[in-house]
Amino acid sequence: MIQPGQILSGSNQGPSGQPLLEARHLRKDFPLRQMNIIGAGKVVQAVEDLSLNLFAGRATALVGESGSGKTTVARMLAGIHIPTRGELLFAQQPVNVKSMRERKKYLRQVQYIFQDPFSSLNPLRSVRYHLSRPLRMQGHARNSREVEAQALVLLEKVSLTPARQFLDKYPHQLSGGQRQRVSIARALAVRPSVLLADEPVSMLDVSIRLDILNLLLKLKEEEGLAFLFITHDIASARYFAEETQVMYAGQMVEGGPSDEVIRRPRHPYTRLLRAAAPDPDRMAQNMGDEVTGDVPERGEPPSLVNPPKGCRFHLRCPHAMEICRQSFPARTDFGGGHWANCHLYSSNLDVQTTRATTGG
Amino acid sequence: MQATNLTDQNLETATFLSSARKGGRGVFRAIVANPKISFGVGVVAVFVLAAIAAPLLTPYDPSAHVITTGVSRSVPPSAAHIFGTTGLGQDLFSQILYGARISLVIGFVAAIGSTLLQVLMGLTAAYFGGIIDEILSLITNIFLVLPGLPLTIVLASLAKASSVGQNELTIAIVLLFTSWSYGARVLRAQTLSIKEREFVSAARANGESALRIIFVEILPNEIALVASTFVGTFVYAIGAEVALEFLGLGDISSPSWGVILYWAQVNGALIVGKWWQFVPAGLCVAVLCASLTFVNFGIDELANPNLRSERLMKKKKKSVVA
Amino acid sequence: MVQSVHSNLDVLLDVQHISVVYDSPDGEVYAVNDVSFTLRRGEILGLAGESGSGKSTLAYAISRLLRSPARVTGGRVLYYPRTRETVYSTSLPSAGEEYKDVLSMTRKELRIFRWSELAVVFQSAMNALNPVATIQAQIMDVLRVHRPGLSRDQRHARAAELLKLVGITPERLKSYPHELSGGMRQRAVIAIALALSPEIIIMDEPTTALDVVIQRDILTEVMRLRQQLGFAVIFITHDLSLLLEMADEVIIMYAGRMVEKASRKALRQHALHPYTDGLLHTFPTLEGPIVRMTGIPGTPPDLRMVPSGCVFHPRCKKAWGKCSTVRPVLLPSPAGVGSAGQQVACHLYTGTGRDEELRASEIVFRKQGGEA
Repeated sequence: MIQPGQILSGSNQGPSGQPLLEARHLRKDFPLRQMNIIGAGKVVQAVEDLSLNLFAGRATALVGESGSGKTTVARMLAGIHIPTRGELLFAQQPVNVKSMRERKKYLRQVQYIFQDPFSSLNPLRSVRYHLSRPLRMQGHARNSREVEAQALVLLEKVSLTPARQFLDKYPHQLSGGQRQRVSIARALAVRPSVLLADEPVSMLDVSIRLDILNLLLKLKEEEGLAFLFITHDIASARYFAEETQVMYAGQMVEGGPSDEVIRRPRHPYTRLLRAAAPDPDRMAQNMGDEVTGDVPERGEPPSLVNPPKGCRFHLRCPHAMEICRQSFPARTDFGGGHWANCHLYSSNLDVQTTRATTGG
Repeated sequence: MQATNLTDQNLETATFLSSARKGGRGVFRAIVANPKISFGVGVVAVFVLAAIAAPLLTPYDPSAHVITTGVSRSVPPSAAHIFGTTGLGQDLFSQILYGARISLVIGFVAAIGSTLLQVLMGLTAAYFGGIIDEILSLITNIFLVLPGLPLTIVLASLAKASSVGQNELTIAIVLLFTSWSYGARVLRAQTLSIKEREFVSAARANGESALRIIFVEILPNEIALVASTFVGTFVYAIGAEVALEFLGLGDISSPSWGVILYWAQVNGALIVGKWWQFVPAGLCVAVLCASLTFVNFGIDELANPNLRSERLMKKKKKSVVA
Repeated sequence: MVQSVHSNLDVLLDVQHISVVYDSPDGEVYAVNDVSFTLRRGEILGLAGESGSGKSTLAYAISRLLRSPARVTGGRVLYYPRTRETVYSTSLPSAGEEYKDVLSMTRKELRIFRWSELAVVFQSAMNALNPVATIQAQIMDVLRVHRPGLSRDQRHARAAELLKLVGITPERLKSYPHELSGGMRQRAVIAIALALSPEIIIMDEPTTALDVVIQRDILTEVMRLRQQLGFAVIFITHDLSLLLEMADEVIIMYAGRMVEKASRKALRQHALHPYTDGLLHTFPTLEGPIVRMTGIPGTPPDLRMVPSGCVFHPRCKKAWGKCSTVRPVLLPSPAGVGSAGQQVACHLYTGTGRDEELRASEIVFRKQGGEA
């Protein structure tokens, strides 16, 4: 059991063993509903080329703003969307999400936790009902007595105690944090080995976020679950996940150990995220000053219907070069598992000069 | 996070349904607690009971010519004939009672059928989307665009002309087909919004079947809308049925309210001052429809807690002053 | 608590002992309980608290935006306008009066007060904007209603000027809200709020629904506009870290009561109330070792059944004896503790003797109509 104040290790250690869930070069295009007499219809190129690995007992954070494609990635991993290209492997076996049978088997292992505690539970059903459905459907419980017994265990696991009191409550009688715990319990009912948490705390009050994050930490350690943690809050990514990957407008831009990526970001977009994040330690400075001089003043993610060519961040990037417009940069490794896709670090540039521009 | 109106509505429905779980007594208490619903349901119950107990409440056969002599066979209300008699000497009170059966049955059948059709079309179209939605919406829109009343009249007169049947069922079915499309569109819209809620995605991710999701997860969240549409269709059906019969398109030998009014008009009852030939029948239609509408107001209150607390506040202020 | 304000020309709003009650079938529920503070010109005042702390209710009470079953029971909101020699001069208050109680304004006065003196920016721009009207129409509508003297061209010019002010290109005037991105929509709402150059802008969680980069954008924008135009801001949020970066003064609310008031520097250096201290430690850090943190145990109380004594005591690590029986009063921090002007409602800082304690709690007891 982790004690308060105890330093959370693991961010410097690599994962042991084989990945539990592998996503390789996933791509997702959404067709726009249009009447097209000639030619192909327009598509939203939501995710261009994503790869990531999830390991048991470890969390990987996927960080990005809205429109970055991170939710689409989670939904592809959850079998809700079918990837346009790329493959998914579970325990080194490829998974064909289109096949109903394989999908069902896969979903027994991989569960999705939704973002909105207010809409992820059916307002007309009790907590007991919400937990009984997965228990019955997966065959873990066959009658109401078994359902009750196992539901109580689940509620204890998510620290909704006294569990008996919560069984017959309805969602409107629960606070946001409690609802989210029920959501988590529902996901655990299936006895998965992977949890995909899509911004599990962004709709909760800041004082409750920590509680839920600590609950997820407990589940990670005690149950050995693999986590995908989607968030736009890099501080919580650093707190919860060992590994962080950053997405922008459907493209992967940076990745590596969370502490590394967040404290020493290389990609200009990651640096922008870092500068924009509320930093309680950065008290003395006036809000009007920019922390690092090379952070762009304004701008928003581009439309993904006709995304910019090459690196999609080039329109906002203070270091944009001609090559950024033309091609997506290859990966540059910085050692220790830290990598970035950015032409600034491509092999033909001097790595020393680029180090000068990387700051805190 | 602000709760949307829909969430408020669901909160109330949840409280209501959770009381239903305690058994009939819980539902009963919830209904009785709301004065609008209890008033409306009470009045409707009176009509229903009167209709059922018609043979007990009146000795006359509604079509029997009771009065056969006199200057006019239509006599004003008296002890023997509470509502007087028609131009043909038939007892109006009996006609009203037996007529209630007709109106209630037509109204009920049309409302039930229409609501079932709406739920089927609206929810399925919204949940499945894609080509299914396109087809079902097309059908719905066609029916929506057809002019209701003229179509009803045409269909009713066709049915009367052919011998498909001059009975009430024909009228009920005609009304059913001309009234379902509006509600279907509304239900589709609401289902589209509920479909986006994450608990639906969660159910899908769990592997629940589409049928179960539509009818067990989504539909209960729309109960308030379905109930009020049902009541609304009931009112519409009664009104339309009376109107059709008034125009002479129903069975003019049946004792229904609309036919009473038809005969009253044919006999020029208003001009000659024989008010009893149309006032009771008209009042019955009005009162029945009004009480059903009260039930709808009550359902509104159940769905929108703001209305209820305003009413409770007024009550409280009165009691404080007193 | 209530300072003598007549000597302080800088005061814009003097809120005195505001309470807001919700009438529910279970009786009266105090959403806001005896809150007092002053807002100075050009000051950014942060109102922080969890859901149910009463922070939004308080702001709506001040602007008289509450709807039944909520009502203000007692207290005054004194507004000190300054006569301005601009085209947009108002007629508030009438000559000779220095201040006006917002809560007792007539409808006519309220109409003048609203938007010319006080504007509100709500949490969700999509809810605040009319989806079927262009941005231009919405800004010009505000101007048409409140500044009837302006010609159509003048209104148009002002609308363009306002959009430029918040960093939206004037070509966007003809856009509908759904055609704008989330950040732009929120900026449009701010532009509408600024239309009549108000003295006070209330912002209720204006950036909660936005991404962190856009949030930073908007906040920088607000700071810049404040610098330029000199209005005061009441900034409501549950995210204390934002306030620690931008607010001049911060009020922490819990279960409808003020528990602490301090400048952001003071709060960071020495947060006095255990709740504030707890709140400050619920933010995972960006630097330093990654350490397991504990939040504040428990959940905020149900306002219908508020704990006796100090409302926070069931969750407080430092609760002792009288915390469960005597309600603490908001008082300036004792000498040597905290900074000047810092106020806290906590028994840890009242070194009063027993008699004074009893007297203090008695006053509070009576003020709340006998509700213990």
